[in-house]
Amino acid sequence: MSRSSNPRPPAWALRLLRFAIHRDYLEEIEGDMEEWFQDQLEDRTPKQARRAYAFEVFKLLRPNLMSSLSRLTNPDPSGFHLSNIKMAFRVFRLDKVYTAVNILGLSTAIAISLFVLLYVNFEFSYEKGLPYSDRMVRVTLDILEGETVTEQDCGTYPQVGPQLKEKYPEVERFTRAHPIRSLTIGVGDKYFPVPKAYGVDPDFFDLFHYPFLSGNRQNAFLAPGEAVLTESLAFKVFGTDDVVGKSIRLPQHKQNYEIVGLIEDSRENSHLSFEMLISFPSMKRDFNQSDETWNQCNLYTYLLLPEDISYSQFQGSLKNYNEFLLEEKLLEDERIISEMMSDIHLYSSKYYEPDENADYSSILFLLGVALLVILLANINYVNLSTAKSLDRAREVGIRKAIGSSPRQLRIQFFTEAFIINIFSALIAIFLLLIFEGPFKSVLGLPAQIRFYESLFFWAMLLGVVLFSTLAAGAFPAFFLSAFQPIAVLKGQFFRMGKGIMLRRSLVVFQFAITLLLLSQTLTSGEQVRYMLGQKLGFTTDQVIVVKTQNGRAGLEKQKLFRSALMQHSAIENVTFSNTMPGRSSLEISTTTGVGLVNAEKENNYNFYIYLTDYNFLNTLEMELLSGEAFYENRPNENLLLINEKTAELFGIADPKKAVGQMVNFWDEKMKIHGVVKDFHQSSLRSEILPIIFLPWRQHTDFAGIRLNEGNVEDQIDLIRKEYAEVYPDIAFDFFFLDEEYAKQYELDRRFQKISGLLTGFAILIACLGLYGLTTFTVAKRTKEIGVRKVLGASIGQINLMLSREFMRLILISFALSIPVTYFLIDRWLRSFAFRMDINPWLLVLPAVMILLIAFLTIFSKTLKVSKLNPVVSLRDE
Amino acid sequence: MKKSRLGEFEELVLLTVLVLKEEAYGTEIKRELESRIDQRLSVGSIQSALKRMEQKGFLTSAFGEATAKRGGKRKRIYSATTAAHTVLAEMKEIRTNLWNAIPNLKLGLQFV
Repeated sequence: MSRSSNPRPPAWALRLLRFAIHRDYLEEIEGDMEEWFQDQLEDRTPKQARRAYAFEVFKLLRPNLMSSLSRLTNPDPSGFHLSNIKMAFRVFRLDKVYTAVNILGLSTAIAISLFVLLYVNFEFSYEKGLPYSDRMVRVTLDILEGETVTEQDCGTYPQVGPQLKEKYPEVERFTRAHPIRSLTIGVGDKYFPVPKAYGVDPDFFDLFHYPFLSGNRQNAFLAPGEAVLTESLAFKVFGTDDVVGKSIRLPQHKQNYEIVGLIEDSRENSHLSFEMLISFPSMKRDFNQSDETWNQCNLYTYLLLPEDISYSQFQGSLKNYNEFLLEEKLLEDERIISEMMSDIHLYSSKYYEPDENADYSSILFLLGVALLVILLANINYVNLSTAKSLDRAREVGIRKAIGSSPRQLRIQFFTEAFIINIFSALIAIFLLLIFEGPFKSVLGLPAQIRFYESLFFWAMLLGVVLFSTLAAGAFPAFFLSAFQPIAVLKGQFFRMGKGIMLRRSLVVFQFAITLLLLSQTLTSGEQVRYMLGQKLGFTTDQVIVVKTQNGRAGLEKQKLFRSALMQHSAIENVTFSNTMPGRSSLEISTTTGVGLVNAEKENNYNFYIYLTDYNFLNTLEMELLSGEAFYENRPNENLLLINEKTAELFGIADPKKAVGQMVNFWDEKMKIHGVVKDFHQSSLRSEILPIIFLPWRQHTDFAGIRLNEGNVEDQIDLIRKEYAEVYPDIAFDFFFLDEEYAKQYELDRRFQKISGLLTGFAILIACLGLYGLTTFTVAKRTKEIGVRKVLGASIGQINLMLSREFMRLILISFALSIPVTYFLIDRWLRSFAFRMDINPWLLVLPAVMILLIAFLTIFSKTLKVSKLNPVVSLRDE
Repeated sequence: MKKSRLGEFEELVLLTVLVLKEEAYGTEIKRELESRIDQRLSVGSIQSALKRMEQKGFLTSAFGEATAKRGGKRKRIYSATTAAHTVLAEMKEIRTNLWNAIPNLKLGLQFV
């Protein structure tokens, strides 16, 4: 092979050689190898020679020829050394207040943000575990007036699912889920309430991924009279999970159901929770729910799209389907729309949601607060380290003078930030373990979630630590490493005001944030209190509601129950109705197409229907504005009551004029008999509902009982006894109306608790920082204080002097924060239909509170120093 | 045995260094030894032996000339120290003495 073609040894092998061989030997060995390689080329092909060369390099990798291990782990001589860690610990030991403030602040901040992240992660995990979650769609109903959507309803008609599947290849499978509320099941002589059950199609088990733990999936749920239990219900009812083949009774419907399967409890992170499922055909047989109706949209429909169909393709077919429905006159002023299954929990808030969904914006709010808390702790770190820069300036100067590069210094400062963060993370994990229980209950997380088993948690922990290291370490690293060694060593640095402006603005920022958080917490607390204290339009206390879902023959029994109860002096009044104020509007049936006979044009409003007896308004102490209540002893044929809101929607301005007017109600003409003053069916978050009261003709679900003053325990026992006499075969189930009503504010209260907790910690962290800064300032001015005292300054004057600077900063932060806070609170309040006015003290009280806490923090430090004997402080060095 | 000893391979490399005198550098030593023992040797084994003996004080070295064939890298010329001469002489003597102490060997061979 001629030299001129000049084959080279493989580049990678050469690189390996240069990397691995000891620097002292490299020139000789590389030369030897090159010479040997050239020899090889004499009698081998270049390819063989190159291969031989590479092989030879590997054979060179011997310990006594290679670089030392320490050089390998430290390939860059200007990089990280173990001595960085040693230095960091020296710095920590030198100033214990500094270290303690940083670790305390950061560890709480890390713990808090991890909790919030876990919560957010849980909220985002809804439906994500399902095998088909990215292909599943729920179709819902929009109610239209022209082209404007007046209402969104989660329910659809029973034929929508089957028709879509039949007509379009864009729908692979479907399942319907018909909610059944407040069911009672019986086994032997025992009765159990089942609050949430659904009638579902066979595909439900696949689409929602509930495989049978026992029982045969084949042919299950095709016929009426079949049921599937969840494990916990099976244990509650039978005390065993061996339930397949056994049967349960539905006393309200006088039917026996065979248990064909057992499944796991419904998932915590699913928007559809239940205790029991029954086969869909049972809905028609036993629950009076027609399969063909286009009048009742009471069920949820879920679709599975094929893998190769995009969501937009499917939406195209849905549009086509809507046109078909309009042509066939099956729908009018309504439109079927779809939403992705995985979006339901976070984004969907329509009427008749199966369970209460989360609110995306409040989750983002929490996430933001968690981020702010971490930032507050990092600000402490930055402030303290720049404050200490005077101390460290000399160190930096000397290091630079003896040859340290800015990069080495930066590594030193980042190492310190990292170590502080690692320590804080360790403490944060302890905090998490200790406060796991209370935190989970505050956040409403299921207790069985174990955070330390999830990879997400550890990844988040690492992420938080790295973020915090960068946020905390960056400023000191670049600020301190930029000092000019000559200036610093000459002592000129000491007069320079570097970093003070930054420190001041960060303190201002911290307290501005603190004020914002505290105001928000107070406002949300006040708003909830305001809502609870509002006149609801009825009185909730002293009312017990007994559930009386007792089958078709219940009318006579209800009369019996009432007369039995009314014998007792403890009971003031009894009423029967199909719903109660405070029950979710989900349970109330609604109707459209109702209006005045002489109305100019037809309205398309949705009205809520109350079925009540004559005693309802009386018992709940609702006010009648005009007309009369239903008659007790006369037939109420073709009479109805409306509330103010309905009157308004009918276009009647004066309630008195409403009485006697005729209303088209479905196919009948009915007369308005009275107008009821508006009342709050649900929380004050929502608007007043338009309600139509129809006279009670058949059995109803609830018996509202108003009690006289007395021992509530005894009164309940009394009712229970009478109930058992009348309904020997139905479980006794009751609630207090005021508690039921307050339940609606659970989410608000939880939100308030969480933000209160976060705010508390934010204040703590901000004050920790203030304490650290005060400690530092005071230490620097000890001698000055001594001189002032000698010259006659009083303790008060010295305290004032020391705290004035910080107090001024806090006041500036308030001035900046108050307009922003006002704006944000105002925006938040607008999400409530009924809201309080913003009181100035909602801003003033937090400001005063923060000022007081901050003053105490500063004072606790300055007092000690100002009382010090000048002899001692003057000797301080 | 407190004294540093030579391994068999090291002894061969050391002897080759002595043979090559001013030409005693890595590749040349390898080439020479390979031709004498009629066996392929790796650069690594030669280098490793050289470095070991240098540490033990049997060899000293200095940079020599650079050639184009070596890609401009200098050679390192090895030379044996007095200690090396002493040890080699000692080992030769021990071997000779041992050979002399085997009188029956020729007799033994006769039976084969």
